[in-house]
Amino acid sequence: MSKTYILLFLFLVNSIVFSQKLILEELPEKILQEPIYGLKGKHFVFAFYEFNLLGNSKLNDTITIAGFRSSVQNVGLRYKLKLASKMSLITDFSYRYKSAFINQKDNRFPDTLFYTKERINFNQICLAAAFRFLYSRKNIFFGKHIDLGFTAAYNFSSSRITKQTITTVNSQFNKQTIKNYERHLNYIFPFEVDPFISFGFEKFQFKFQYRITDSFTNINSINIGDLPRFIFGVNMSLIGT
Amino acid sequence: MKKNIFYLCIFCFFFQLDAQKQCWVLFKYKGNFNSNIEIKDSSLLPVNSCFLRILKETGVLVINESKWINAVYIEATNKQIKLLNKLPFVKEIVYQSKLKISVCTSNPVKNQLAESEILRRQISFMQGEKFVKKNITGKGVKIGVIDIGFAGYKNTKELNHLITGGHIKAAKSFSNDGLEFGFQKNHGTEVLSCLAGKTDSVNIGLATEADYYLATYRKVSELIAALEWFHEQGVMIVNNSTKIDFSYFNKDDLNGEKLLATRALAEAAKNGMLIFSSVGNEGGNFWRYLVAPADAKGIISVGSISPITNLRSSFSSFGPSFDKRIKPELTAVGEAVVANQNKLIGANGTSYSTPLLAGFAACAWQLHPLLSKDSLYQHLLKAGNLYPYFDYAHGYGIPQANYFIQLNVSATKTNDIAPIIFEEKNDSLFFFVNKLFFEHLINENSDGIFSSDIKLIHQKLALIYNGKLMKREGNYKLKAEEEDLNGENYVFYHLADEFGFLKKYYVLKLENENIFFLLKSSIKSGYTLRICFKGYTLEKKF
Repeated sequence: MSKTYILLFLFLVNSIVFSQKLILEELPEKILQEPIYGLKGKHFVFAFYEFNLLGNSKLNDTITIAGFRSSVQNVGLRYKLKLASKMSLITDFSYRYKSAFINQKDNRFPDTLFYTKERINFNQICLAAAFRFLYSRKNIFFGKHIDLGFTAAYNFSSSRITKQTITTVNSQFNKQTIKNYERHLNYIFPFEVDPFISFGFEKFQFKFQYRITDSFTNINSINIGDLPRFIFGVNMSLIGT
Repeated sequence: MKKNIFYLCIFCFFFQLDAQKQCWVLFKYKGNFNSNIEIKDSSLLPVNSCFLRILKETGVLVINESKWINAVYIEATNKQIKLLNKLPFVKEIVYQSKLKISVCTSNPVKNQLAESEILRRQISFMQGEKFVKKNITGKGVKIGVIDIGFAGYKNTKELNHLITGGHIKAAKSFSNDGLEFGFQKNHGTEVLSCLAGKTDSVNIGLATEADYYLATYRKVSELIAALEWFHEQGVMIVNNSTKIDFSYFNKDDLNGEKLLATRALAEAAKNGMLIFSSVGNEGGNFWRYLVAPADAKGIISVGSISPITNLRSSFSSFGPSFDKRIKPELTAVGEAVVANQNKLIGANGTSYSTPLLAGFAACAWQLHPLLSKDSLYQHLLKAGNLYPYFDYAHGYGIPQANYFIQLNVSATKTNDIAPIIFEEKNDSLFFFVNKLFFEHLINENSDGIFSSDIKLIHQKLALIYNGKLMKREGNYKLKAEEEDLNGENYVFYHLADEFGFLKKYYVLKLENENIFFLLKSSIKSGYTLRICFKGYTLEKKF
């Protein structure tokens, strides 16, 4: 007990009598440690934007889409946890907007009509997890790491937009366009799981995804096909800490 | 299906196995391969021609070779590189060709001082005006400046005397981009102005009559080539105000061994050149640590201090190197005024403190031409205003011209009165400011004002009054200017372990004559405490 009082007394003496203005205090051993937060730290949080295209496939049940007009875009936050010097865990939380322009030449979806334009949109909340492996530059041509993981998405809303242009003879206009919005589509499968592989740098990477779940449920036991499963694009980090 | 194949091709493009890569092939030996004798200190010997021939026979393209690091820079496919790895004389294959080179400048901060005052301080903090008075201008010293661009150096008014006097001996671009390239193309010109610039009335740098060799580079391989070129030209001092971006390495890579740029600088130092390199401007961001190639062995890495506080600039990076060597070794004003082809501007960065010090070293070398590079290196450290105290923010402090002016003077006047005293009481150590020191200082300069105030000084803590009086009284302005570095009452102290590595260090601004106290039992035996105050260092071993 008396020792505590002595220490308390010394502390008071120190703080009153020896009061100096501290300008700089450094513990060099701390500086030598890798930073805890930030780009090279154990924990890194940053916002990202992802732009992907859907890759068409010639499989029987795949709906053909207009490739360069259809896109999948993600905006979200990414958290990176460094597990070892060459391995990290990546988790993403993001909003995803998927928009597919249905090609009307050889496919009809989900009805048998042909439209001038037909588009289906998905609004999704996504959770992703991946393991990141850093590799040495000498083995692979591009980038610093490779990510292997999967994305789980929930479709919280979806819509289908069709546009039909009709040539009318008796009207004062030669053409008439009918634009039709459908929401709360009952044939949308609510969940989506996409394993992915991405590689590149911390701030820029290429990403390849393959959807293993179906986009649509069958309507009255009739198979209405599926959107292309292969998605590829780039992921760019925005601001981080 | 065709499209799928197309995507697969894109994928494979990035992972292609036969892509051409550029890398360094380091050799084990320089001498006769069959004799298996490793020749040390053979950096001046060229790369073994047999090795080169064998390499070329494998089909690789040899771009560059370095006798210093005993390596060749090649372009080869993966298959060829695998083949090279199996060769018995190949020591290592290093992939550091894509490292991003940038400059050590920081965002300008609003300075409270006028441009002319900063110009004065960037010289006077090193007592550079004493060199100028003695007409020591670095004459006869060859300085190599390596940077990423020297745009408009011929049209810069403040560097005109170098052109007319024929002091720019050679300028060479080691990259394909020429002497003027990129966003920071003025950087080299600004650095050169900190070495040799002068306005009509004052100097920007100190080495205004040294001979200069300018080199630009964009890649590590070009840096190595430029350093070897400097050596061939007989360059004595090299200034490097560039860095490798820290996103390319981890802290444990900064041990003076790993990065090729670092190794090249160390080799240049071994080969008789005095190298100055910026410690980096990462002190204010999350990295905080120094950047390559400032971690090289045998070079002087330079930090920055503020011309207002005389303490580390907020952007200046901290040391030590990862293998616990002192970094930065020295500091100079890095919040400086520099010149480019357009005008004089205020600029921040260790990029500018480095050439200020390199210019200082050139003057010191002119003053003592018989000093070897190694002894000049040691003397520069000793000339630091904090020496023998050091820390990892200020190094040994700012070198002082007085040290070199009095270097060969046998009897120098010394002040026997130490500014710090300590008392041991039981387990405690109390450190105080020695009032006698200030009385002595004041009596030396007294002509009325100080003498009449001595009583007051006793009443109101001599040191605080001393500091304020120096600044306030017009009659003592000159003295105060000379005492710029001691104007503020900063106490630097550190605790070093038995290997000399600092466990912690502090800077205090004294507001009380009782500096601090320590419990002896709280300090491990073998540790050393050093306290530096007013240029005096008190050392206490435990």
